Amino acid sequence: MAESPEEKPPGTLEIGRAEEKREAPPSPEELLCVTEVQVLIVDDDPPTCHVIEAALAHEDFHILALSDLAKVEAMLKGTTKYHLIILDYVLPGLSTELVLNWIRDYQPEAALIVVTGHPTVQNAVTSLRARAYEYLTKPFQIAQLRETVLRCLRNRGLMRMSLETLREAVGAAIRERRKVLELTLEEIAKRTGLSLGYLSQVELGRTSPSIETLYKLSLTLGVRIADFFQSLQTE
Amino acid sequence: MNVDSDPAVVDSEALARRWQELAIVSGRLAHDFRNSLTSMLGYVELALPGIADASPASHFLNKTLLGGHQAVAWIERLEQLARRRPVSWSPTEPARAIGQIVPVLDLPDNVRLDCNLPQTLPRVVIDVESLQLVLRQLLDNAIEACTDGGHVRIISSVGDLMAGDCSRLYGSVRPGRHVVVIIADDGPGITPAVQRHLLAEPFFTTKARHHGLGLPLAFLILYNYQAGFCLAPAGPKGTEARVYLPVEPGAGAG
Repeated sequence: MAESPEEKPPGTLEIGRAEEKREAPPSPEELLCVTEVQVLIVDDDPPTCHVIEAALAHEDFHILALSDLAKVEAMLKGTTKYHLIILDYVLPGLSTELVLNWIRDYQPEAALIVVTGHPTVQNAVTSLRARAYEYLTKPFQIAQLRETVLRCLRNRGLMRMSLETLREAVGAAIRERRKVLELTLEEIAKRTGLSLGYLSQVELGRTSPSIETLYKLSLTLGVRIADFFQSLQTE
Repeated sequence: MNVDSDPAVVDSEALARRWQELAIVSGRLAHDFRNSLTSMLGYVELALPGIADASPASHFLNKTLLGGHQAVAWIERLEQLARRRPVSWSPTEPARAIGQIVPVLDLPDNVRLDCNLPQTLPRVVIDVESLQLVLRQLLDNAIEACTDGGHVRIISSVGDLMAGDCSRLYGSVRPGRHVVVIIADDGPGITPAVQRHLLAEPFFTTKARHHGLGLPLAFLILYNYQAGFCLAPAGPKGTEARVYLPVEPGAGAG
């Protein structure tokens, strides 16, 4: 939700803005894990395993990268129950179907993300039939991988937003709606009886608005309170 | 129909075997390149946020990413060659197939394209995607040949091929009624020496940053459909690529 400078209508007070975000998708630091997340990466190419591991480094992630294919079966049948498995579609000497069956039988709770250096429609269909959450073609962008993993874990209820990100998302929704209506902060302050400084803090996510504040804002902006939380809902 | 091309006789079967094997190797290489690029580009992406935007290191790393993306485009060409396409004999209206690809061609301002097709071309036995892929390769070649601007023409007619004609075409054409689609440019033309290399030498190209995969791809597809093509001089200068497509059995005189 990057804001371009020309979006600011004339008459809006110049208020210190939050630091520019580098990336649109949330970085792992913006999300909190509900539990320690067990991640298994299976790829016969060790550098690929390592770069995925580095990309997903997070204090609450326990990541195991496996490129020794002789151990795949034992690892999947083992006692560790993985929350997420990132699987290379083509594993030399192993049938993809067999590995997908192991995952189904021994890791039924695991979410599956398939990565492949051999993109074909057939492989994509097979992956999706094996209830893969996503199918990524190598070389994938690191940002895309992170975004996919976080979206996947959030859908499974394994991650929640940090309170800061939550406030920023609600503030951004309020600001966006205000700009659609071409209203300045001053006008909103006048109509709601809230102070201008307080409103700007809410929009920037620096303070947590009360239910009463959200109610007043929703009436003034002609939306439902729930609309302020729309962007937080997972698909 | 007079097939006036060089070389005089083409050993298409040997060429097809060779390119089918090369296609398998290409697919294998493409897979391994994708793996190598994943870690290479991944680490560059991981390094970038820690480096000041204006620094030389950031500039160099961004150039590395750019080079990597060009490599992906090349890998996609290899995969196009390697892709196994089930042969579908559903007939296609050639004029309609051509009409759909003309608007999406990458045509520079100084190249003019004329498409002059008769209204009554009979249907041909090749599926529409395969035909469009073949014509796309040949049209891209014709447009690229006009480096200093020029004129590309697409014309078409119907005629009968004799056994002697078929042996001079790249592909697996059999005698009988065919639609010929001619793509002519007025570029510098192809010398007989270059033409001898075009399919015989894997990945042969005379163009910078090209990989010589367009003609082999067109050849392999046409070979599967009992169709074919040849390259011939187009008047005083330029090249004509002629594609011969078998007419659907039982179709009218056209």
